[in-house]
Amino acid sequence: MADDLTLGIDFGTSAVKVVALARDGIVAAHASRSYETFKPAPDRAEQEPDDWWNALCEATRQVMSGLDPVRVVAAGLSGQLNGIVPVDGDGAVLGRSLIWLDQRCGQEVAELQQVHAGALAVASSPISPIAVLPKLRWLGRHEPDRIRRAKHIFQVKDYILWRLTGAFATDANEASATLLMDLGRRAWDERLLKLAGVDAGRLCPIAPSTRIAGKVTPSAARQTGLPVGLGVAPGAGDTGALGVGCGAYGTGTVAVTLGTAGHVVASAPNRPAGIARGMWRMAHVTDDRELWLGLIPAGGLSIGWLRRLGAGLGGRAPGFDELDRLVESAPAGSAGVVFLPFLEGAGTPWNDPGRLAAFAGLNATHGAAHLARAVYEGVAFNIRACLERLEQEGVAPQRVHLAEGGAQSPVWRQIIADVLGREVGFVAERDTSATGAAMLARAAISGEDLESVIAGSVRIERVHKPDPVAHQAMQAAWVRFHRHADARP
Amino acid sequence: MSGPYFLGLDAGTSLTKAALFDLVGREIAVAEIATSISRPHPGWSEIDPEAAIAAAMQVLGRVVRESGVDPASIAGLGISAAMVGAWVLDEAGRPLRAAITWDDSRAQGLIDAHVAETPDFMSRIFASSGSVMQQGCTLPVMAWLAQHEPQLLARAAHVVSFKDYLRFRFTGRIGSDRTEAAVLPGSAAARDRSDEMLSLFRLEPYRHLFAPVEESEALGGHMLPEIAATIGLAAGLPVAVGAGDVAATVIGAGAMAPQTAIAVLGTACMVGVLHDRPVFDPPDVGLLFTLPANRWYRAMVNVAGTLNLDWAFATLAPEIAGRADRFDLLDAMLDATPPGAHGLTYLPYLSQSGIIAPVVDPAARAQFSGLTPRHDRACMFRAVVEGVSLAMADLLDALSFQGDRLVLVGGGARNDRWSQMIADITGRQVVVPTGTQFGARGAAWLAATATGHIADIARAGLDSRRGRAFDPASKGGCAPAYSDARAAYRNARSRALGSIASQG
Repeated sequence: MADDLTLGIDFGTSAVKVVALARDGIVAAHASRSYETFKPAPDRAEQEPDDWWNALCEATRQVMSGLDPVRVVAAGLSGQLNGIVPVDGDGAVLGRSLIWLDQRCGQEVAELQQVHAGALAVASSPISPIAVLPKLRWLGRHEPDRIRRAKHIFQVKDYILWRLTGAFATDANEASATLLMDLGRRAWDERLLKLAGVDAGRLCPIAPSTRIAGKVTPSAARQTGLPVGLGVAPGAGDTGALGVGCGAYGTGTVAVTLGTAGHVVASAPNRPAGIARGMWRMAHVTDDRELWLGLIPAGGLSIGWLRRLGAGLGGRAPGFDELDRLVESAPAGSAGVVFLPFLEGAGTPWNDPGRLAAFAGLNATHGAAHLARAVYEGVAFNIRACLERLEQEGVAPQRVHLAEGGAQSPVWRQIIADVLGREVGFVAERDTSATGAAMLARAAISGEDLESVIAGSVRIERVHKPDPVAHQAMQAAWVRFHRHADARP
Repeated sequence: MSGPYFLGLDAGTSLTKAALFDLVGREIAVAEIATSISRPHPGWSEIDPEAAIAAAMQVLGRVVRESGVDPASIAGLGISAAMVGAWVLDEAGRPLRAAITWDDSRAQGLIDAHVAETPDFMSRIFASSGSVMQQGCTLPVMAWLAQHEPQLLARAAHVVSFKDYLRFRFTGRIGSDRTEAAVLPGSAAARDRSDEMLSLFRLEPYRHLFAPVEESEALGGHMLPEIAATIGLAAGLPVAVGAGDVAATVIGAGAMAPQTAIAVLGTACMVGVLHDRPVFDPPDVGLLFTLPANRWYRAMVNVAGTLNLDWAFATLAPEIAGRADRFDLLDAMLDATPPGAHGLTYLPYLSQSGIIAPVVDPAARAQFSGLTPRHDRACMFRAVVEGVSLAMADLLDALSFQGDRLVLVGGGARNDRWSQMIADITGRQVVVPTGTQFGARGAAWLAATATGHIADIARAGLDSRRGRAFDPASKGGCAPAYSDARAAYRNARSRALGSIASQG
């Protein structure tokens, strides 16, 4: 069994990614298929569940095509959080899924905040239009027939689990994001369900992330190319799976991803319910710990934006290497230029959508390189602000693992190490939610302790040590950043 | 047309320009030559007097030749130049050292020492001169020389300014004028030097060095034959006393009527208002220039003019920064973005020494704020142009300007969209006078007055201020299209100059 494989299946916002992962963290095969997001109105975002399924079938067939099926021993799931899939008694999907990006329930959020803040406290995360709770409340009010006819209300990956195996199961990590779960008890909360207008019987039971919940049916096997009877674990929401895939499970390791949005994911001990200012408290993939999430809404987007700006490079989008060289040509601290990376509003720890991005401290001696470097540094400072927030809550970060998107830039990784003044490891695998799901499947099928699975499977490709001189310069720049970031907008 | 024509010379620290005008101020010919300053020590800024005189003669010769007019039809020369600093001459009028310019900061330590000893030192100067004294003013520079080069001053017979030195070399006559005397610092009310200011700098022993003060529009001498021959002019050409470059620019732009605002939108941006009395409000900020004909120009400089645009080109669009059509491309970017630049705000404080208006804040720096993913390069350029315009509106407010007309000159005035934007943001009619060389034209008009061709220098430009007029979208107030941008600017400016800047 040394070279057996587990599959990780991650339903992201725009595509499904499937990886076949070996015990040592090597990806033996991977495939990805995208699907459409429908935007019938500016505040709406919907996806078609059949599109997910069809994308999955293509991706799994591609992955399986190059593998001996007997090598594949289990599959684990991961997916975008807070998508709703109502299904009737005949198994028919009732309309397109409202995905997490759908913002139509602003009024419901305001009501819940004003009137029901007390009840919400057990969920332990701040409410926003992203969450399932206000979305269901909106549906109950505006499309009551759809809710009345719904025998089951799935979330994205749970719907897939059901189609693959016929099993009903979600997991605590995903459930904690809905704001319908009592984080302390890891169970659906009656008062919160009532506010959403649904009963627990229509939601999937909360099952362990690391236990096989069902087996691939013959019909699903025909469509997906997966082996009949393959055990499938519910896995976790994409934050939990990403935490596992980046090694942010044991104490002290913080994962930072720099996709379009940046995420800071840390494992934390369980504690009494309540809101942690500026951070999202969620269940981790095992009941003995929580997962804390900090959000940098434009973490990776800042670089994409900078490239579009064509800063200093001929009015076209410079390549990443070109941008890295430009950044490297400016000194640590960007000679006083400060960039606040709030293109999509300020996330953790400010949590203020009205606070927007800025270049500050500019003088006539600054050029394109200073501005570009300030963007890299600005995101790094935001990461530092998230880590300080964690420290204030008693979660002491010891190691930082960088992954995805902007983490591919060695210059940016070094800047982050210099800003944080600590070693930064680079997780080379790009689809860490998918590899995390595969690790959860590994733990489920082998019975092996998750911590040891992670230790063996998360591959740190490179470690960046802080440069003492650069770190010194960054300390002064950090003071400048803080002064601007904390100024009232 | 056969004249009379008048020559105007405008000598700056980086360019020396000459132009020939007819009586109504039409530019017949223009020539300019780059000059250089030397910086032998950090903060020093010096001019070689021989190089300065050579450059002046060269541009005058060129403009006379290129104009094609008969030198005999040229009726006078007026001289304007960068103000203050110190040109120290011996008895024969020979320079004893390199000239020190307005841009020199060697006297800062001396000023600091005075302030430490006399906390209201700067306020006392302001109360007399109406200006926040700059380091390169004549009195602090002289006080520095008295401390550091006393033997040199012992051999000195005259201390004059740039234009006075040029006049001396052209005519053999030594003298200065009121536009310089009142800002040494001197007394704006007396329109002259001030003994109180001399003693404040402990310069009484050197009082005799300061040349006699004459009216700018008076006859200041006649051109020496050998100079005239070299340039290609008639010997004995009348030369006016002349004026400092700010005064000459105001005259040349035809902006001498009281309650006229005039803005010079050059590398730095100067915004001011003409008065028929010296105005000292608001106190301890801005500058007050004494002009001919009992006029005063109360002005603020925010070191935030077209430098911002040059910087934006160099930093955000280097591939077009060097192109001749870059201003067409700028126009295209302005047209591609609506007023307000989709909520993007720019503060134009790019100087490394901060700003001196509308408040004094050495820590103020430029910034873009309100950035979102939708903002592209065109938005950033529009924000820069709007930011400079909004900063000008700030200065007009600080000057409590009540008039309805703003005369706009300088490089920025060449852009029609920018001029219209300034009209819309300030709610004033913006008038861009015809012509390009306003300092030289003001100097030429001083010569025309000195030779009796113009009766009253205060009226010189008024009948010839033809130019382009840009009417504001809403008279007297900010156009609705810019009201959000103005509010955002004020908010950003208040925060930057308040909480952030004051903490260093």
